[in-house]
Amino acid sequence: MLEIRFHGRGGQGAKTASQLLAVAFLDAGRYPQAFPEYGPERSGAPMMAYTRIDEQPIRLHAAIIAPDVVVVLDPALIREQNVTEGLDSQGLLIVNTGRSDPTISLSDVEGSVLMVPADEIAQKAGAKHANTVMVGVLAALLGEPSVDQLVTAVDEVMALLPESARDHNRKSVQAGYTYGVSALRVLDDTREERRVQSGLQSSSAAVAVEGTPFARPGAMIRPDDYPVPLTGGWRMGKKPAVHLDRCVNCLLCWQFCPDGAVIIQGNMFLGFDYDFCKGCEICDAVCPTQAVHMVSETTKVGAWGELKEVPTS
Amino acid sequence: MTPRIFFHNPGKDLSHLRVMTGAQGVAHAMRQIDPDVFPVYPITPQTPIIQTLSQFVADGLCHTHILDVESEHSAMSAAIGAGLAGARAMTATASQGLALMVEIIYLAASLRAPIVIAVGNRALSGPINIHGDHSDAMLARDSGAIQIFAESAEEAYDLTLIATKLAEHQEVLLPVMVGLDGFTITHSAEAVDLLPDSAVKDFVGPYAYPFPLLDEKKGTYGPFSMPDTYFELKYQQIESLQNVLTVFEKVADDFFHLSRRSYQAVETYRLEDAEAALVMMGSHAGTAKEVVDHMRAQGAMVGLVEIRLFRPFPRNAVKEALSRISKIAVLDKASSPGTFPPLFLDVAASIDKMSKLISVIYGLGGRNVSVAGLQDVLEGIVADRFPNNAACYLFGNKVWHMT
Ligand code: SF4
Ligand code: SF4
Repeated sequence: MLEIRFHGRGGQGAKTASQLLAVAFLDAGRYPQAFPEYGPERSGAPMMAYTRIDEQPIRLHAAIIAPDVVVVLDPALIREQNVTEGLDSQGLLIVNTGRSDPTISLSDVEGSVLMVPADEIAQKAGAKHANTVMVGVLAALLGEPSVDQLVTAVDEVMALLPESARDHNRKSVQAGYTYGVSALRVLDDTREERRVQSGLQSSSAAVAVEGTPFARPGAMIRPDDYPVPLTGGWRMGKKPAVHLDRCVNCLLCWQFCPDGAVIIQGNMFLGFDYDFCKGCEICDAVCPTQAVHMVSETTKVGAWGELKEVPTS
Repeated sequence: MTPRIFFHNPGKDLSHLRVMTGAQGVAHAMRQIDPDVFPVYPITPQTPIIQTLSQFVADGLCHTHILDVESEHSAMSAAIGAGLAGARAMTATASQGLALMVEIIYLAASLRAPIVIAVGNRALSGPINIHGDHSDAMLARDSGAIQIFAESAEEAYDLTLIATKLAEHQEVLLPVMVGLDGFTITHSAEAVDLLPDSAVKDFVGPYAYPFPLLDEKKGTYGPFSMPDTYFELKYQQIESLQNVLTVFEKVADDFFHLSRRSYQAVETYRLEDAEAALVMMGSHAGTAKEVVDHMRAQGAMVGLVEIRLFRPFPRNAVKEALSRISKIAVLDKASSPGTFPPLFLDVAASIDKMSKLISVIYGLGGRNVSVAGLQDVLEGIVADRFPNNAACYLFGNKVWHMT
């Protein structure tokens, strides 16, 4: 059995990638299973999707805990999720290096790692997301399914999209495949080739839970119960910034921010907390004086988002 | 590096199969059956069923009138109205939606309205949770509706077809709930073998409710029933459920001739000479089959009893299946605080008292049900780790019980 885990953000097409691969593998004569793992269903939020492939019908309905392959669609996820969890020395990790973050570092990865400039490849093919590129790369490294099977699968899985979008994705899956074929030459060949037997792998990774960990009765959480997730990673390229001399301190942004990401001191507006701001643009919409501007993630601003000059736009 | 070919054998010709989720499978069954009326209110994880079916209707692939109602309570009310008027009616729901619908499911059963309800089984609040377990189905346990549970996407498709023929059988005329585990089945894409449209049409046949409201004969449907009649009418309903066992067998047999896929109210898996067995229903029975194979390969004498027909409970078949098994764990994906969970109680009431029986509650609120966890249940009962009637819980990979 072959087990694959995709890491992506809502909107980056991890679920589509897992299904595309399943459809192409069925065409290649294998039994597939593809399923997403749902957390907070919001674009930008980290999520995972899985594909299982076997030579006989798949009866397992358990989570994948020891994947053979991990595909990371967004390099920034490496800071938010343990992408190598369950991956052993025989494993294969394929990471989209993106455009903005070529310097990601992966500590203690045992298996083979391939970095793919998938955003760039997708852009050249005209595709919006890197997901189909990554599926192409993956298929080339696995030796199955064929590029033709992938292209046919694009048409099936994306049947409801306009033909132009399908065309771009057919091209990006092909470009990814080509990239994968040439990457095979540079990837470490000394590792023993892995042949996986069909059947079960009992995992020792997951811990046994015994009894109930909650000391307090009732469904209620207190601030210190869990580490607060850094929702700042959910921003998709834009962050709020403020021109302080336009701010009239009405605190509407503070009142409406869904994530408590507006920093105040007493009654005074100070700025934005980028660890938690998820870029929803509500502060921009409610600010009565247009003191708030959504700017590109790479724009230089003060620590709390203050802008030096009033933008012309 | 050379490509990592994972498989030894060349691929098979699987062109008869299609990749689809359980929800899509159910929607395909409904497209092929083409019910007249489909009153529905969306709720996760049922929504992809109605979404897919709506697409089929919009594309002209079926002619169902989809009725957007304001709640599940109204959905079931409208379905009863349509069904008794003489139209084939179906609906779909889950969790809180089913909770709101339950009041009217009791009426559907009492009125003998043959309505198929696809249920994307999901935990009931609270706390609020969108993931899979059987607590919603258990809320409708005593409603008088038939309940069937699917193990896979293909089974969800098959059982929707079987449910339709069963519900409408002249000796049955009852609502049927087809349970498919939320997310684990509703949202997982698997290979499904759809039957030809025409074969399905022939299999289910035309809708033929024998006393349609719209025919010549006048009547009052759902009259007030005083103490002098209520009990008898209830008895009639109780008795009607008993017919279901034989009719289910007959319908499943017809379905086998059509599809070569065989369904029993109670499936036994590798029970021959087994000393220990799991009893469970739904998607994780698939995982359990893998666990049984794995342990059998190592010499353990273990097996599985999978309950597909939960209401009426096939007491005799369960008794027969477990008659030679001395160690039994009944797995419930639901709880009944204050007593043992529902499936355990049904099994306990069915079997001879010689066997050792334990209850294991598992998978609540979509908790992952791992291979290691199910294996620990079987190993635990084989090794007599638990006292008779122990109330156990499978939170993770090890069975836990209060000592
Ligand atoms: S964009 Fe504004 S409103 Fe939205 S999370 Fe960030 S600070 Fe809060
Ligand atoms: S809404 Fe605008 S003006 Fe009001 S406090 Fe926020 S930044 Fe200042």
